[in-house]
Amino acid sequence: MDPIVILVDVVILIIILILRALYTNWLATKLKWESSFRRAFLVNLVWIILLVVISLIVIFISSPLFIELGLTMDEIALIYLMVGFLIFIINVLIGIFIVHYFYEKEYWGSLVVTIIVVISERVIMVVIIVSIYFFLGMWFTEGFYLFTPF
Amino acid sequence: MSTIIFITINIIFSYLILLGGIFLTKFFTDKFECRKPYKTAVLVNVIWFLIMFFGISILSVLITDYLITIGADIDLITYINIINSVIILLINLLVIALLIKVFYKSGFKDSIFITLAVISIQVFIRIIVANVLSIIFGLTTGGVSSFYVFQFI
Repeated sequence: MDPIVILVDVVILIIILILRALYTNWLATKLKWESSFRRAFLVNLVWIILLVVISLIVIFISSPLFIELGLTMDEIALIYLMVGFLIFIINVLIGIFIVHYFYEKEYWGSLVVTIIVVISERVIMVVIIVSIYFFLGMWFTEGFYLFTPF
Repeated sequence: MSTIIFITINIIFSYLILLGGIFLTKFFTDKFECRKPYKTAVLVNVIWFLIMFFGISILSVLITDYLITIGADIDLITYINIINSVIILLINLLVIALLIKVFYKSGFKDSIFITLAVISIQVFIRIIVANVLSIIFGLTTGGVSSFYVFQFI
C-alpha cells in the first residue's frame, strides 16, 4: 500500500474525527442533552475505531477470498454491494448504541443523531472522493476508512 | 424483472418518502415545541416540493442536457451530476430551514436542526430502498445496477 495514501487517510481521519466531535456536540446541545466536546470526541473515537476495524477486516479478508473462489466481476460487485449495505446498517446500529451509552438518552434521540452524522459524513465523503478522482484522475480504493464505500 | 420496473418502483418509493416528509416535519417540530396543525407541515412540504420540482430539478436536467449537447467528457458529466446532487441537497436544506423558520417561527438554528433531521432520515430511507432494490435486481438478473446517486452515501 502506498505510504502517501496511508498518510492522507490518517490525516483526513483525524480531521474527520474532530469535525464529527464538534458536529455531534452541536446536535446533542440542540436536543438539550448534557454534552461537551470531550464526550462527543469519545463517542466518535470509539465509533471510528470500530469502523476502522470492520473496514480492515473487509479489505484484508475479502479480496484474497474472492480471488481464491474465482468469482466473476458481476458476482464480486454484487457481494460488495451486499457487504457495503450490511456494514452501512451495522455502522448505524453501532452509532445508536454508542450515542445511547455515552449520553444515557433514549434510543429515538440516539437514532436521529446517528443518522444525521452518518448521512452528513457520507455527503462530504462522496464530494472528497469524486473531487480526488476528477482532479487526480484516479479512484482511491486503498485506505482504512475514507476510501471505502462503507 | 426488467430495469424499467425497478426504476419505476424506486421512483414510487421516492415520492412516498417525500410524502413522509410531512410526518417527519410534524414530528420534529412538535419535539421542538413549535406545535402547529398538520396543515402547516403539508404546506411546508408542498411549497418545498414545488420549488424543488419546477426550479432546481429542471435546472439540473438542463445542465446535464447542455453538457451532453456540447459533447462533454463522461467523467465531467458524472462529476457535475454528483456535485449537482450535493448542491441540490444543500439548497434543499436551506429552503426547508427557511420555510420552517417562516411557518413555525422557530429560531434559525432550531430550523436547521429540524431540517437536518428530516432530510437525513429521508436520505437514510432512500439508501435502504435503493440498496435493497439493487440487491434484488442483482440476485434476479445477475447484473449490477445503481438506482440512485445517494445509494452509497
